[in-house]
Amino acid sequence: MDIRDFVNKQEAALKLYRRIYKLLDFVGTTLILYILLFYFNADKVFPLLDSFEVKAGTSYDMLGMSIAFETVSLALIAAFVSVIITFLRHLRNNKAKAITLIEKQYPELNERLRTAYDNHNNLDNLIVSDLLSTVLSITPKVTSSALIIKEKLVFGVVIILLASPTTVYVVENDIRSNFIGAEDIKDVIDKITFTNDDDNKPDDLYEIDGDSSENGDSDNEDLTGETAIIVVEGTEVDLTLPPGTGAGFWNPEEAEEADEDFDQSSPYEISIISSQAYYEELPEGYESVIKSYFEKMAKT
Amino acid sequence: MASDLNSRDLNSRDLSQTYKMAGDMFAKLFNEVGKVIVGQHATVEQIIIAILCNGHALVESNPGLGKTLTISTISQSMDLNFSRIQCTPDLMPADITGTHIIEERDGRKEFKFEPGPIFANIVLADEINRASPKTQSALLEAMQEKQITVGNDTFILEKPFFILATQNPIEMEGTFPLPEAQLDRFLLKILMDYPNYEDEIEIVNRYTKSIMPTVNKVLNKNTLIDLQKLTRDVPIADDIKNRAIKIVISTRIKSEFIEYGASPRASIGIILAAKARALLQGRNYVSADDIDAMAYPILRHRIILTFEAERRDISTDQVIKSLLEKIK
Repeated sequence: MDIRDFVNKQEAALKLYRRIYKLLDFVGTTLILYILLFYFNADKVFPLLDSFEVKAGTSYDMLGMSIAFETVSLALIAAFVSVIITFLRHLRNNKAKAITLIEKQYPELNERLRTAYDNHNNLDNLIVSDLLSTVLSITPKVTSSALIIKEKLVFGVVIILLASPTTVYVVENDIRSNFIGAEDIKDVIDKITFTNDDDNKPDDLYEIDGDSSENGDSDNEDLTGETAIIVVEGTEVDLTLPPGTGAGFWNPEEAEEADEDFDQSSPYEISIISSQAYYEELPEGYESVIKSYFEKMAKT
Repeated sequence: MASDLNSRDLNSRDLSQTYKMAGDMFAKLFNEVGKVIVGQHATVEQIIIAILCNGHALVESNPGLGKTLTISTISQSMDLNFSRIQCTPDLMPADITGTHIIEERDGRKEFKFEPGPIFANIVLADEINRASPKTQSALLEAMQEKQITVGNDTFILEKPFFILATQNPIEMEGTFPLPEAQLDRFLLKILMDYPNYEDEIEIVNRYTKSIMPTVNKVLNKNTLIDLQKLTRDVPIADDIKNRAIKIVISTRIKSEFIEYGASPRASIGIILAAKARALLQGRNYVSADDIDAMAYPILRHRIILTFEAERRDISTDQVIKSLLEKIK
């Protein structure tokens, strides 16, 4: 075999090994990221996000299995971040040439192989011919597997072997962190999304009576301006309804079309205003008390 | 033994034969020189490297360390014309190059050129810094062009041609330090160190006997020319070559200790000397170690240190060492 063919063959093998390292790194990083995202309740954020609210809770049929939207999304996020991390890690890696790695593995070829390769065209040279014949007598002993960096390979496989059952265990047993809840993550997302655009704050959509700060106790007043604090058996209960409560979810596609012949009497343009998210924010532990209060109100 | 070494096998014009025998020839050469010179292996090796590169060498050491003896011994071990010039302040250029003399022939008087000691294969210029600048410069043309011009006549010097010069770093009174341009023409500047204890005992034992050691000739002119050609044929890897050039270029970057760096002649020299060292050590490729080893004798007379370096007693070798460590 010609020295150039030999080196090209080893370079091709080295490229393949580098791809394997990258794949192992990618899989390992994805699994670890998935575990972290799941543990810190990242999947609970989807129902709180406007864009994903509709799809939250749905599932897809894949290979006869029903996989939740949250699982797929989490996996995709983990994979995306993992691609970036893997790319950056391997970008900074010093890509040693196959010749250098072979010379390290086979000291008898040290400096000889690269010299023979760089001078292989100079066959008229007596000493180059001698060097080439010496090198080519050693190259049959060289196997491509010698180029594998075993530590790297073993590390990648071990990470995957550890991360895979951990992922299954964490997901199956629903092991999650108490430190960071879905609300905390949503708050962070909201802060990031609305940092510089105060006009688009979701709460602004529900302001009906203008600036609520004009009235000092506006927080304790309902829509009619009456106080929303009641006393039940000596306990003060806050009946303030958060904006949007009871409005439910409006699907713009199913909403009634505005009557074109309708004469606008309002200074405001008539349009469909839907709540961005439907949820009840009743004070925790007071649901039954409030329920009984409204039942009594209905009877009287 | 001498007859064996001068046999057709060893001195064949066939390059492949010379290449095969090179290892044996060098071993015998070192053995012969070792009969006279005790230790100083690095010095002997570097002088032979200069000869293989067809370059000139400047050997510097304190008095009494055997500079002249080493060079004359190496010369004697090769079947080449050898001449010695003892440089003194009153030495004239014509004393080196030769001059036209009037000769009477058949009743007619005519000028005849009488060649000087420069017309030899190996010229030992002993204590070269004692010669006047005028005389030193007479060597310039011979060293670079391998020819000399006397009057209107130019004479090509016979190949191979080497000048092996010595100088003494002490006793500087009445000396004329070699100008940088002339120093650059020396391929290597070789420093000889004091022998160690064991070597000194051996020197005393060897030179206090009634019989002085002698050397046999182990290389002839043609073999040496073949070896010089083989030296240039030793292959070198691109990255090792690039590193050598980077080392030389790094000397040109002004720093705290370097005033002026080495010329491209140093790049040529370092590669060529590394090739010769590889051949001498029986290798068919140049190693990075060859570059490191030859960087010192190649660069030490080509780097001009700053006043700050001299004030802090920093030697050129220390500067070269730091450059080699930087460019790994």
